[in-house]
Amino acid sequence: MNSKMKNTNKQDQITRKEALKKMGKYAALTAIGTFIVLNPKKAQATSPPDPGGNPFD
Amino acid sequence: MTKVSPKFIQNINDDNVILWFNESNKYVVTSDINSKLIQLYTNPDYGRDSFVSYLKEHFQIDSENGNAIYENIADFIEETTYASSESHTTTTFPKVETPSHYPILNYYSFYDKKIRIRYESDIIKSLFHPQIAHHSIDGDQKFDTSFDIFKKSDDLYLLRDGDCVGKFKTESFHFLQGKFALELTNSIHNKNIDQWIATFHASTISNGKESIMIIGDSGNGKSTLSALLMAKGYDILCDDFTPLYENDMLLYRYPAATSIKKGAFDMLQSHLDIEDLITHTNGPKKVNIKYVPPVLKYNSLKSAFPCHHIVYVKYDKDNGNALNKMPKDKILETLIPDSWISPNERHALKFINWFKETNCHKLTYSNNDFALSKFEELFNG
Repeated sequence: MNSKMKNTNKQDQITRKEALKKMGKYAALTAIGTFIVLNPKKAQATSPPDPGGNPFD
Repeated sequence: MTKVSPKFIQNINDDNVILWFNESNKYVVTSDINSKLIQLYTNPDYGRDSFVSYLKEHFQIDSENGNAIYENIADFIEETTYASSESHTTTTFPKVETPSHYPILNYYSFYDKKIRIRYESDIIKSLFHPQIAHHSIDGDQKFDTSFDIFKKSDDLYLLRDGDCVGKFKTESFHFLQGKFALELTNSIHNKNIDQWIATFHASTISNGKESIMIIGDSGNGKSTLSALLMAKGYDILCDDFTPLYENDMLLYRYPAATSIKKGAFDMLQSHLDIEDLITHTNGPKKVNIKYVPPVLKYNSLKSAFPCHHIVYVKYDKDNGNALNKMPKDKILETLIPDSWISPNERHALKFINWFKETNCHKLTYSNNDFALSKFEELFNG
């Protein structure tokens, strides 16, 4: 497995909309009523003014 | 094998239940019936066949759907268990060779605390200093806490009083900013770093007695609205980063200036004198930003407030003005994925209980006076 750091980054790049889309795989449950899995961020963060930009590149 | 089951199950309103899984720090917001099905699945006395039969008998769900539901829950539980093999946060760091010299040294004052920060480079300084520049003081070698920030290979490091407390890849610099924000808040308010329940991606406004948390997707106008409220005499407790503390369940002041993007400069200029503030350029897209310091005198302001209202804001020039109650499950859809919430079991329960007591609203506005009047109404209860 790659470093934990890499995993963390990947996790945090999943946006809420993507998370909602992912819920499609729980179609049987969502057909009955709301079912959404919510993951808090794994570390404290501030919102970068320009997401994705790396000032060190 | 013991089945993974939710540690906490609580109703958040008439229709929805929140479940928390301690193995993965995952929250599930679901309807009451789904919650019952998940509990049935996790009951060690129920295998697949008895689960499907139970659904047929009590919920009139046929075998095909019963099996599909069983598989959905099994998949979800597997995901939850898989996540348990990852650690949530790293608390120990390998020894790293620290720079022999830091070319940039700044001192800051917050209430009665003096903080020294040493930056290894101008780029690093540009990620931390502009937000707190209004707290700069002349250095006199005396300080209560020191922070050092440097880069080694592709990693950024944060030291507090010589000990490493954060390490992130350069591309994830906003996590280092977040770690710094919490460490700084913790030092200023003399708190215990292990007792922060959450850091919300939110701006928070106070009237000197209580606070209102403002959430919304990036670009919805949280900071601009905060600055407008500040121009009307309200106190900005936090911009973008709102920490909740365990012992008193209060939101604590994070002393950064409010970041305003170029699109709002002209509108704000008629309310606040921001013309002379430096315009910073961030990132490859060259976003222009001004950091607007508080109008009120910092040392006269209280450091923490209770919060009874969360407002989801959306600036929308075409869709009129309205303040309505927002379903709690919808608020959580924005609040949880955008925030850090401690994986500690005690903290998760306190977060859920705190959230249950807050009132949730949605503010859509195109007219600033409308938005301001609604905040006034919320504060006056």
